[in-house]
Amino acid sequence: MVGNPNVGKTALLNALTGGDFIVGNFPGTTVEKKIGKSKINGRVIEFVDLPGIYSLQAYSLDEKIARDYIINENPDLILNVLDTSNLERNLYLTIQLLEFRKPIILVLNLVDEAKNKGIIVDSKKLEEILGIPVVETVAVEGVGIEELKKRILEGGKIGISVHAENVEKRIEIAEKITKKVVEKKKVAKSVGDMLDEVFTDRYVGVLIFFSFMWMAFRFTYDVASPLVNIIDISISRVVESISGETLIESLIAGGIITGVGSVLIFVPNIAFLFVALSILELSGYMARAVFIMDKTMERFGLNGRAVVPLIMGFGCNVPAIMATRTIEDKKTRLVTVLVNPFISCSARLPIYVLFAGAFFTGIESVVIMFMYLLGIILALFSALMLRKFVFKGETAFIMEFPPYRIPKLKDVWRLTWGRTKHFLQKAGTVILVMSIVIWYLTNFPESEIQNSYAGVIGKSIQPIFTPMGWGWELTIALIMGFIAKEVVVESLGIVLGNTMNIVNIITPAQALGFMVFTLLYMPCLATLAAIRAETGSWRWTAFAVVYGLIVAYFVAYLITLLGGVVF
Amino acid sequence: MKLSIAMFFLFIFLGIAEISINPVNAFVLFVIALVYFRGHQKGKSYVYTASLIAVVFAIISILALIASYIDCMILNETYEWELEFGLAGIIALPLLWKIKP
Repeated sequence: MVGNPNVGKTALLNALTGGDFIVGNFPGTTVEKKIGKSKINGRVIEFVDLPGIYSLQAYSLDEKIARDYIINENPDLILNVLDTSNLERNLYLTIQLLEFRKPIILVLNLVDEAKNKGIIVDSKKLEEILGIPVVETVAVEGVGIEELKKRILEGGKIGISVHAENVEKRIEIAEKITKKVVEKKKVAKSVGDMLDEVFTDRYVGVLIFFSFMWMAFRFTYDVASPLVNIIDISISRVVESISGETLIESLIAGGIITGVGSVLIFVPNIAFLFVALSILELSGYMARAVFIMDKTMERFGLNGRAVVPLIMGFGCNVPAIMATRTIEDKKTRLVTVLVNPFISCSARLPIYVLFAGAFFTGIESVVIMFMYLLGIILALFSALMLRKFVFKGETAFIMEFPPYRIPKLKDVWRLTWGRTKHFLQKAGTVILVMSIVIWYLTNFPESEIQNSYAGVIGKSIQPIFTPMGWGWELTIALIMGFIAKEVVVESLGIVLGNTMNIVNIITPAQALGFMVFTLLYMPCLATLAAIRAETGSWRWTAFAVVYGLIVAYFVAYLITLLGGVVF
Repeated sequence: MKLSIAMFFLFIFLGIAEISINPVNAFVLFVIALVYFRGHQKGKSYVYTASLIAVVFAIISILALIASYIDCMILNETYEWELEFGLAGIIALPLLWKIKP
């Protein structure tokens, strides 16, 4: 399955296979090939969904993946998926595919949206011109899927022989075909046109973007609050019901339940954040946000394409770093990879929620938003420095707007669950193991926590953080947080007995400094692995660690000092 | 459009009233006011979008209000009503229906 970005290939894959692959409304949702199987009339067919590409020139990594697959894997049939509203541009890739002389079926997807725009495509005529089967579909509604399955079993056709020697020739052919098969009717200004006029307005567009971001944070913190409290109370009751007198009981109550529980409490916040981001993405707004931020990004040596990985970083830095594959320019890509860990991933949210709730009652949402903004500002500032002194050069990009769509509950759920599941899996694996490790370190060789291994390690490193006024309890949490950021809260839960005891050992200014340090100090283990894989360099991986630590130390110190004046 | 000017003044007033309660909420109300003002100069697209943002913001405010009420029930605390001017955004709902093409 090959086609331009955001034409609905993944939705088609789901419709054909009954699969549950994540669908976006954003160019670049698929950066790796996805594979699904389906049984059609007793025949097992394997579908491979390739990343969205405009041509087979292979400038960016995702284009290379798609081109190499078609050339090297020799598929039995190419399903070329097109956005019916943008036939001319989509046909450019079709012409290149025809040159391969392989069986093709043309899938005209999103015909409903095209009709709403007054665009009618004569698919029979198109079939005659190209010499390949053409099927009209609305993949998300399942329209045309049965017809497509029938055509797939017939095996497609090789089509007309095209020999276009250059880009101009291909564009010319696409233009001629489009003129023959497309009829345009005049329609009134749509809601999408009206929204685009305002969302991309150079004066109010950015202000609207920040307003939506704020609404997303209120939804994440304020609206999710009752669920957080329910889980918190339930976990506290379970811990209280276990006496903790024997070693095993202490391990279960003080180690596993307190440790894993202190992270699970924040699952509603994380899920609500993903719901908000999913709605913004699926509605088509996020692509407009990319557009209005492009000019700003240019000032920092990046381009609009870098916004996608940066926004994805709010969820998890690992897929965000992988999403940089859509960036053609190598230098821009490397800079985007290196600054991505400064973006607040969902694993940092529990730290913010805990500290904001404990120290900044009444302005929790404002403090959390400040953390997110600080991460963005430092990521952009770092990008500017890297582009100015290390990766010199200019960058630009072109992107198209996906249509506005009212997000379907099913798709919001898929996106939210797909991302939250990752967090829950970590709670059941890494965090569970770390609970046991931290419990051991805090209970041995002596049960007196000050003299335990954790106490000794924390105290030996603590002098480094004396300027910020953090004790050994916070130091040990920072060390453990290197495995995964959620472990910071988990460690505090085990070391302090209850995370809310944090108010007894630091001041609000020191708490703010600590939040800033955890935002910046170093990527977690999984993110480091992703940086190594995507940059192919240990040098840049080490840079991400050292640079993060230096920036974190100085900014946290500064914030603690300033915080001391304000709070 | 006289309506957009009327809405501009209404949201300016709401923003000023909200500042002392939550300055970031007030920022959103001022942005809505600004978009309505642009609507006076540039047409109904702006009035429609401003109304949409106002309604979405009002929905978030209502959800936050319900959540804080439930919170008090869970934590056995007395519920104290805190006025939030973002709620007034719901009055833009008829405009959404009226302007929709």
